[in-house]
Amino acid sequence: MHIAKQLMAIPGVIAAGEYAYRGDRYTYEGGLTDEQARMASILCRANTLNVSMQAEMFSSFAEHCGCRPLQGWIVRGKQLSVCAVGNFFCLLENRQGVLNDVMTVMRAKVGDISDNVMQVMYSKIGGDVTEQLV
Amino acid sequence: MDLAKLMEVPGVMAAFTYTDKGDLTGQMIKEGNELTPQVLDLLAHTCVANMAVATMEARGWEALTGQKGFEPLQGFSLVGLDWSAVVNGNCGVVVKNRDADYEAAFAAISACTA
Amino acid sequence: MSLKRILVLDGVIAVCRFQDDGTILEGEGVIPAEMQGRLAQFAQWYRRMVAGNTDLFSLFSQMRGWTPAKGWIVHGANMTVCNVANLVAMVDNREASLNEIMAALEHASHE
Repeated sequence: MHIAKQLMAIPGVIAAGEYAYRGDRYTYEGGLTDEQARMASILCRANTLNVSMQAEMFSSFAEHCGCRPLQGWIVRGKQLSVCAVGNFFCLLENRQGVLNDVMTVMRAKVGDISDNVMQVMYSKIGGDVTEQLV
Repeated sequence: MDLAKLMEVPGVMAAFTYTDKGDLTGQMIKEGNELTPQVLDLLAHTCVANMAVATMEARGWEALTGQKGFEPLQGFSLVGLDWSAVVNGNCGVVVKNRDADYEAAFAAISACTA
Repeated sequence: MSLKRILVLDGVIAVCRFQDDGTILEGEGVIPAEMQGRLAQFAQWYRRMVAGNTDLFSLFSQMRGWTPAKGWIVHGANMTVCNVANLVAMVDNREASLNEIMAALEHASHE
């Protein structure tokens, strides 16, 4: 089953999807409009870019700190949370146990990100990975 | 923090102040541009994030290479396509790239922060 | 413009051109080659991060004219690092004219 569909089966998940390095390519399931999904995709891409770079910088100062390659990130809001693992994202309610269930599914299904996360994201849309990393 | 003084920086479109977290506390916007308090609030948050990571880099760089001279940071500038934001401490300005005087902008915001 | 023409500007300690993965292509300056390589890598990481933040800011502010971000300046106590496109310069604040260096980097980035 597609990961987004599996995530949507968890009560409390509002939307889930997949985004590529370029923020304009995405697929999703759940309660978002197409425009909201596009914005979520751009947001996830920028955030992943951010956190990935921070992990790289941090690990260059503190080698073997275990923070790279980056696996994902979670932003916990007041009532909602957003999390991303690899190139999948999920929007969920802050109900007891939902985040743990979502992260369990995402980590199990997406698997360990062993390479540079940006290259993994790029490989989803094909093309010359190294060339396009701007 | 004298925003009117910051408005004298060459090419300035807006001057603003913000909290350590990036919440906007004051602003002056030159008429005839698209900047609004909401946009400046978003910009201030972006700049706080960039400045925090620049501090991490500066501190790491000095520790790793032994080369001193960055800390404490005196400012950060985001050079956009047409506009630049120049910030330090709790003050910032938005300037047109075409007329930007980065040195004057850094000097003015340092005076504003002091 | 060769990097040497930027290096000769007052206050420039080092200047590097780097690839999109952060690998240094060429570097000039008075800091060791190993430090130049590190400077290039850091500059590219930071550039991507600033670009990502700027994209987000542009998305939510709906204001044109910010993206794609051209570069950044980190202004330190005695030293400053500035980036335009795939060029980065480390400069001494006491001697450098930041405006002149930014213009030179911008010019060199078009070549």
